[in-house]
Amino acid sequence: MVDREDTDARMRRLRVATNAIVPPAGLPARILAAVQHRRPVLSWLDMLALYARWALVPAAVASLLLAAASWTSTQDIDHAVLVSMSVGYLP
Amino acid sequence: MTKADMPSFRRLVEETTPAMYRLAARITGSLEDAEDVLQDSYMKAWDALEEGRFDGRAQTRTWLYRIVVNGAMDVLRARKRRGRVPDDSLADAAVEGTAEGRAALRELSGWLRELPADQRTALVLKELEGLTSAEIANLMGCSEGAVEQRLVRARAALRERSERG
Repeated sequence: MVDREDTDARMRRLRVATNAIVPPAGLPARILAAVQHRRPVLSWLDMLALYARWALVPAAVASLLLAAASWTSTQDIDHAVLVSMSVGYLP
Repeated sequence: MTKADMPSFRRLVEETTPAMYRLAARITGSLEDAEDVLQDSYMKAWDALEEGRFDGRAQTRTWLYRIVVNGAMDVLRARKRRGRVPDDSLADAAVEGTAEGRAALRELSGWLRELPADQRTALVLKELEGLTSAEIANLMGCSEGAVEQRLVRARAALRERSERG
């Protein structure tokens, strides 16, 4: 029967032995490189937000500008066509 | 450190890698797995800092310690699910050491492999890392009573293992 003292002594010996474990040289540099060079994975929500920022918002602004221009010269049929087209472009 | 600041993070990685690597190796019993756990843990830490999920209430090292413990336990659970036998690289870590040291490491590897993940982790944190039961409970997200129960079971398993020879 192995008593508690034997187990404790064995664990102390194991603690000392595993204290000798050291990381491979260059591991911190590899970790930092992985963190710095990782490409973020975009979720579909991120993609939607990017699309909204770079496509929908400028289109909406352009449409509003065109609409404002057309209202200032209501006689101009070309402007009216542009307004129709730009409103149609909006989602 | 509560914000993603690369110079500070670099210092944190350089200062904590030896202790965190040893911790992960002790829990997983594999140097290869320890390296993977460490890389994944620091990535998670950086993400948390970038996204403002670390509020600084705990010390940075304690917080990092918890991430590594959880990562190492995930490896143990995945290993069990897939039935993967870990390499015995922990036993080879003291190649330059004494015969007694090498034998002790082999012994540890064998014992660790036979214990369930929660018992193995609690035992390593208590006996090899020198933490208190309260600290272990905090790290493993359970009560002190649960920690004590895991330690009793792990020690009983060790005694049984010793009797078997």
